[in-house]
Amino acid sequence: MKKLIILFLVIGLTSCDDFLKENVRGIISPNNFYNSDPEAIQAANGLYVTYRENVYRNWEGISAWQYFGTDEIMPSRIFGGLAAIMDYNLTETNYGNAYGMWQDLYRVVGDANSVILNLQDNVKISEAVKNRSLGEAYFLRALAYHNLTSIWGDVPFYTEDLTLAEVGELGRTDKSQIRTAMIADLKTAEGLLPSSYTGSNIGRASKWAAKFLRTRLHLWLQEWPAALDASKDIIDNSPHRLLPTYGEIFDVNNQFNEEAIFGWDHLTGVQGQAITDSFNPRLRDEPKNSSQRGEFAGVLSSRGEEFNGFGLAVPLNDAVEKHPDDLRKSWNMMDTYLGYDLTYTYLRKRTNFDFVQSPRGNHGEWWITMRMGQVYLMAAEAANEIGDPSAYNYINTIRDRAYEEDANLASLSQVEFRRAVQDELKWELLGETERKYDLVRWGIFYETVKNANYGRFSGPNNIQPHMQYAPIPAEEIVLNPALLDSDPTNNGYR
Amino acid sequence: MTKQLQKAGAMLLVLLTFGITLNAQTTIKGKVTEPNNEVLIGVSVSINNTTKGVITDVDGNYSIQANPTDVLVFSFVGYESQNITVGNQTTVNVALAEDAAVLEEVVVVGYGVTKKRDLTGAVGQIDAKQLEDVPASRVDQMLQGRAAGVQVTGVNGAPGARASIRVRGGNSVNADNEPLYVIDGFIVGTDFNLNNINTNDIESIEVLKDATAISIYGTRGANGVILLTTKSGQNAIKGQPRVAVNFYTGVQNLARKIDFLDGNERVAYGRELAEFAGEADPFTDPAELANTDWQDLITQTASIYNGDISLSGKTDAMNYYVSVNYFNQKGIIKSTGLERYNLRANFDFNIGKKVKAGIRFNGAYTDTDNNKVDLWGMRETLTAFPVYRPDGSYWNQNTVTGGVLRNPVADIDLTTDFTIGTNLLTTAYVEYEPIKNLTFRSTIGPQVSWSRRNNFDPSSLPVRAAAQTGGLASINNSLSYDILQENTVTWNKEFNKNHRLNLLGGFTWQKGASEFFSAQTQGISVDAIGYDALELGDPLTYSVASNFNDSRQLASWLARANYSLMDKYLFTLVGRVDGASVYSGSNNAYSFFPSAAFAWRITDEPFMQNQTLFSNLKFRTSYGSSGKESISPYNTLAVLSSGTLIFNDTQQVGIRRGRPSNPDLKWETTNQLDIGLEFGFANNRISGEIDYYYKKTKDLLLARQIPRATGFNTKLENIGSIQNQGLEFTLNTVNMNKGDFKWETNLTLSGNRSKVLNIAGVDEIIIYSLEQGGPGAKLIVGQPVGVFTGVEYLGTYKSQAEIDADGDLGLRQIVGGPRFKDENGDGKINNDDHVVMGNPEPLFFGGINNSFSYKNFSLDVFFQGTFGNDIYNEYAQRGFFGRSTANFYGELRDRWTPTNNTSDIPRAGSMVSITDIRSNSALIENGSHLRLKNVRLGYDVPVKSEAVKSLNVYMAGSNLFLISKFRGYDPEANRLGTNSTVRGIIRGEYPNAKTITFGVRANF
Repeated sequence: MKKLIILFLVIGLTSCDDFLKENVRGIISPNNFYNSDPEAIQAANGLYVTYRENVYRNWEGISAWQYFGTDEIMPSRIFGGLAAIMDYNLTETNYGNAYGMWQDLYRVVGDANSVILNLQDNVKISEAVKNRSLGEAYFLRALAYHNLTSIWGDVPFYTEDLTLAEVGELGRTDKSQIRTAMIADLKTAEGLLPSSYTGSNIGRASKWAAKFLRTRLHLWLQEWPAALDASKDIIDNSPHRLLPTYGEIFDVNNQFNEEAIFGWDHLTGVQGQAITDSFNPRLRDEPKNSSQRGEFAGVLSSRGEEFNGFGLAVPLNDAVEKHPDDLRKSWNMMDTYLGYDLTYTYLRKRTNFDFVQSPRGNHGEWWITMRMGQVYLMAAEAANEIGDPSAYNYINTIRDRAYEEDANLASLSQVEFRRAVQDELKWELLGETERKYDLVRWGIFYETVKNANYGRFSGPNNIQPHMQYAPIPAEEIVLNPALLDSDPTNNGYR
Repeated sequence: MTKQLQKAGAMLLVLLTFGITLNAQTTIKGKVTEPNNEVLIGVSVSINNTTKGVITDVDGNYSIQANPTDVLVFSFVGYESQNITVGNQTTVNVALAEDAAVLEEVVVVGYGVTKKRDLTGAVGQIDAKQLEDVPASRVDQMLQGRAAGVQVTGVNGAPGARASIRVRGGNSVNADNEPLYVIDGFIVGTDFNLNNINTNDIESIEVLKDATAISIYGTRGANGVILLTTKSGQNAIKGQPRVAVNFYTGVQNLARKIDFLDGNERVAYGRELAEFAGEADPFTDPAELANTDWQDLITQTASIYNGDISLSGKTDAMNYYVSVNYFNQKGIIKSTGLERYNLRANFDFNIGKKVKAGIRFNGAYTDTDNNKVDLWGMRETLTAFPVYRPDGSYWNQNTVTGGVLRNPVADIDLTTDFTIGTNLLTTAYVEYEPIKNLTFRSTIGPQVSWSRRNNFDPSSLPVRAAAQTGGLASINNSLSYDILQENTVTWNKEFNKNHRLNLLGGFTWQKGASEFFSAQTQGISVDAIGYDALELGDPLTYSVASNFNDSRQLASWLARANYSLMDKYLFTLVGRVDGASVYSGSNNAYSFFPSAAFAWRITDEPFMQNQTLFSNLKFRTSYGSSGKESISPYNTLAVLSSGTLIFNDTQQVGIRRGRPSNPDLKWETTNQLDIGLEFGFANNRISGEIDYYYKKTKDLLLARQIPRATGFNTKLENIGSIQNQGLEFTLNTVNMNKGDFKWETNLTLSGNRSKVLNIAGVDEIIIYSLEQGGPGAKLIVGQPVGVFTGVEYLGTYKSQAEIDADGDLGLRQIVGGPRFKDENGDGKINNDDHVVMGNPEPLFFGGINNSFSYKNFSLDVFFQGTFGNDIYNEYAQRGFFGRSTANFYGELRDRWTPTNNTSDIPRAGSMVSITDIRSNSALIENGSHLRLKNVRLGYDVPVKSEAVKSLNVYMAGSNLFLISKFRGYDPEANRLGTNSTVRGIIRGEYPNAKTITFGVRANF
């Protein structure tokens, strides 16, 4: 009997390592992935996920670094979450959103590095899918570095599949060097990506989206001829065109229209977005005559509408005061609704009050980040910088659409024209995309904020020139002191 | 109720068909008493070498058929047996002497049973007798205050809700801190649904606490082990099957109601607020106003019913215990409840002289009606809102926010949400004793659990009707399975009078996993269909998910040696090696947990023989380690994770890096020292135990911050340490035992002091944050686990001068509004001003049970309480500070106004943004409480009947009164349930009931 037991124990011992092996089910391991076309597509899709879930979905998201704290958009009331930006008392520690955004953008970088590494020489993937997926990876990684360098300037830069420890010791790389590398990547991407998509692929990055982003990077580097070439190529050769009227760009039923080059789609019921909520008013603020509130709510309700938003992204006082009396104004500035005067002025083009189709916290509207309106103005800017007379054609095409009467510009000095493009971009793209980046790029960020009417916010009083870039969060510096090697002041914040 | 009785009656019939037969010979009668002529009830009177036997009735009388040559055996637990030859007597009266060795009580320990006198470790024993007839669905709810060192907190008051238990404090931060449950030797884990066990089937409950007791369970023992042993036919009388019946029924009511401003007061407050803040009056239309007591509308007087029937018996070849149970508890919140059917069958067979075998089978079916509304969810359902519109439809407008209101009455009336579950828990064993005192035992058992949750929110539900989204139906299915196989060998050897040795060795393996599937759709237009035809929903809203969870295998070797020298010096060595699949991807797949103990029976020393003060004195100490598996499956492996993205309004799947591989992970280890003293005075009329323990847990798994340029924010590493130390005190006294009157007291009292020693090298970790208002609970090095943090509330600003003195603190400062302390004096109130304000750990906690008996009456009164702990009342952030959208505490009637300008309750309109009201000291409340937890008054009805052996009727009460200053329902609740570190945070959990039941117990 004892022998039996000993035998049993021995069997137990020897077979244990097999018995204890994990039954790997329900998880996807890097070792058994990247084996087929659908898997390659899902890997590329994964890069969009982080953007869609975190960067371009929630109201504060990246917008805090793009149109808040500029001359465009503000919250309708004092809101603690945005105080660091609107009051420009930003420090290394007082704005949680900064660290989240830093991580999200780097997550895309790391994921893209891994996708590129795993697809590049992978013989199991068809050429067509491999090309497209690699093109998407190059584009989305470049987009991450575009945002990282625009927000923080010099940042850690890596394009290889490094270990966590290796990444954790990287110092900052010069922003121009990163941009130049990304321009090369985007050129590669343009060669890999298709010109357009159909069906359920609409919304993927096309070669024109890559070219759009490359134009932005050329502008950052003041590579004017290259910027003009790229934007001209989009205007002349892409399937995209300006829509005849400004308002139809924002038709919620046709958002990804011919003018749109790239954007982020959302779907009500499937983790819908909350950006629209930030533009939508809240009933407790409206209408201006509060005794009419019940009546007003009833009128809204009869139309299937509600004022159930946050009211946290409305045109800045400065923008309200200065907006020209053009055809865009009624889409940018809404101070009455259904005959009721409103307390605040809202950015009508990004609102949607339909609480059934577009419920609170669960909206389906796209966030279009690249459209033809901007391409024309980028072309105009680049042409002006090299004295190319086509600059007038580009800006006047936009102004033709924007004004009822003839508003063509002519015979401006280079400086005047530059100023005109800067203003035109503001009214054309108010509250849509990357105003802050442009102000910094033009070198007018400090003076613009300093002189803007911020209403109750103290941004203009507190703004300092170094605030054009955000500080790298203190927590990150504690974990990786090498981030101070090239700039011990952390962008001037210490 | 009649339906329930019918069910119970049917069960009774089934059991009675087992039947009883009797022979007819000479009738012997008599009475059995104690030496002092007290009658003894339930004494076994049997005829030697036969299966015949009876038990004495409530007057101590018995009657048995016997031949003159027969020998009658009188036996009773705690008394010495007597054998008497019948001869020609017809009346045999017997006085049984008390067994001198009361210490011969046995204690169940891991993988065995030991005599209490030989025990070297700290094991809490709970007398299952005292838990009888407590109206509760699960045993953990009953353990509160019953064992020293065991802190039991109800998670909430819902029927079937679990209790959260800490044995000698919590060891871990990220892993579970609940004890391990072992039912009849089957290791069911820490989150076994105890609703599946009929509490009346439980024979004994042991709580293993010290290192030697728990390290036999290796990597799963560190949090303490609760051993549940169910009844068997072992102690039955041969040839006399016994049918025991227990029925009770009763009513439950909301134990406490929260005082809120009523509708009129709320409207007045709202107007005051609007006027002061310069906002519009939110309550303009009198037709839209009401005075609604929502608490009354959602609660009810609820019934509770329990029926148990069991059959037990013994023959030479086998013994058995079979029981059926029906339990039905309605909740005090409408449309909640728990219904259970349970069957247990325990059999032990003697197969020849050397082989024994048996099974323990438990099958349970439960149907839980899940809660649909809670106080927190109703915080914006103002008492000023009506329930119905004038046309009778449900009111669904929140006139304050302008949004749609979730009407709780509609939720209760219209939504369906219930979970049905089945659990089968089975162990079979075989024991072989080839030579005397050498026993091989092998067991195998599967556990299978299946549950399905059906949920339907019909299209007519106001919120859904408003959004025109049709009905929402979902089904969640889960199946889990677990197989345990254990092989042990034990050897008992008594070398001579001075040396006794008991050895145990074993090899065991266990594997389990669970699988989950869910489906959901919206847009169901026909409400009658509910969740039974998901395909009728809108295909665009279909949502399905499935996963494979918690797949684990464990292989273990265990050993224990007990050595007794001269019966006075007792030594124990224990060790277990565990190998776990979750660590197979790491370099630390196997781990060894050793421990050792020593005990000294002082009263057995010669020099103690001449004293009479101590009847028992035993010193014991132990030291050793136990572990915690801590990590989830695949934590050591690199994984990719999936996410959702949308292209052209089409949902698609994306795969990205989820987690890098982590081969350095290892087990969390707890080292524990225990020093204890067992004592007895006055012939053990006063007896008890006192224990000191010190535990230090190292290698705690914590997420270490890593640079986020990696795309990740944390990495799991073994880098933390926590200590717990405490005192435990148990006292059992027989206060009076005179004539017909007996009074006994059991007291337990304990205090634990936890301390965070190291948390990944940082000073603090936030473990709980308010939705808005900053960190509310933290782990801070040098502090107890889970202290509450916030800014200090200084009352209201009484004058502009006070505001000017404070300067602009970056939040709203007005006369009559709240004033907070700028702790660090930097001129701003923010997270940096959060200081420690409270501690969820009580200074001490315990329970006291008093049992009285007089003639046929018995009375048990059990109090339970805690002292010195704090509660974090999250509701107060809105309810006290006056968030414009919430219901407010009644105390706001005395709020600051220009005429009541000394009040420290903030004025109406002082809160504009909830972010101005940070976590603060006004949310911290005293959690000390004393509760009359259980009362039972019983009466033994004298019956003179062959069929009915005994009959007891009783009345029992639960939670009859509560002394507590807490503003909420009950100081005992945990918003985060069994969370390992976040304790004592309450914001409106399901309230506790006050219960009164009537019952009857009978033996046939």
